[in-house]
Amino acid sequence: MSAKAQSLLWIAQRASAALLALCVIVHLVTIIYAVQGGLSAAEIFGRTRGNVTWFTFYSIFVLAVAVHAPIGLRSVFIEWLGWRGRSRDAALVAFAALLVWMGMRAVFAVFA
Amino acid sequence: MTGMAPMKYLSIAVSASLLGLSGVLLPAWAAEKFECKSPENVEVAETIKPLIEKAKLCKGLRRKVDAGIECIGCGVCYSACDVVAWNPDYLGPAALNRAWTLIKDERDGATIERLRAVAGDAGCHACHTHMSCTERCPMGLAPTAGISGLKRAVLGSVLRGEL
Repeated sequence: MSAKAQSLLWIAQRASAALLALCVIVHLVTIIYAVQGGLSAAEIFGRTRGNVTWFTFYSIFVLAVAVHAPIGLRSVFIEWLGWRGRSRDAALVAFAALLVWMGMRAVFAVFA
Repeated sequence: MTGMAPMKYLSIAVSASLLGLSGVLLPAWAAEKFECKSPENVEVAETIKPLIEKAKLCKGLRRKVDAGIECIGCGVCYSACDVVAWNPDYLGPAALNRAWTLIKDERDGATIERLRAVAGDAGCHACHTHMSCTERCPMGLAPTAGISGLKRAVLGSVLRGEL
C-alpha cells in the first residue's frame, strides 16, 4: 500500500472520529432524554418509525463506525500480531461489512 | 578584488545572517571592504542584499523548528518509544524529528519527497502520541510535537494532491 493510501486511511479515521464525537453526544443526550422522560419502547418506536431524520442520523453513525473501527483494528493487527498483507486487509473489509450489516439492521429495525 | 572574492563575501554574509547574528549581518572587516564604492563592490552588495533578506525571512520561519535542531542524536527517544518496540518498520522519533526540522526549513527543496518518506505505517502516522520520547529527551525537545506537525503537513499535501 502506498504512502498516499496509508495517509488517506489516517485521514478517514480522523474524519470519522470527528463525526463520531458529534454522533455519540447526540446519541447519549437522546438516551438520557428517553430515560428521564420515562418513554416506553412503544413511544420510542412511535417517534422513530418513518422518521427520515433519525434514519439519516443513525445511518451516518453506523457508517462512521464502519470506517473508523477497522482502521484502528488495522494498527492493532500490525503492532500486536505483525499481521500484514492481503489476508489482513480482507479480514478488515469483512469486519467493516459486518459492522455495516449489524448497524443498519438495527437502524432499519427502529425505522421500518 | 579577485574573481572568487564576490562569492567569498556572499557566502560570509549569508552564513553570518543564518547563524543568527542579527544586527551584525557582516563581520566588521567585511563591512569595511564594502565601504569601498568600487563598481565591483556595489555589484556584490546589490547581489547579496536579497539573499540577506531571504536569510532573515528563513530565520523567522525557522523558529518553529529551532528547538528540534538541538537534537544530539543520543537515541533515548527511540529507546523510550513503545511503537518502536511494537512495529519494527517504524522510523522512530529521532528520524521523524529530523525530517520535521528539514521540512520546516524554507530552503529545503525536497519537502514532498520527505513527506512521502515519513507518511504511513512506518512513519508519522504510526505515532500514538504516548509522548515517552518527549518525556525522556535529555535536551527537553518535543519530538511528539514535530511528529504531529508532520501529520498536519502530510494532510495538507494529500489535500493539495502533491503526495
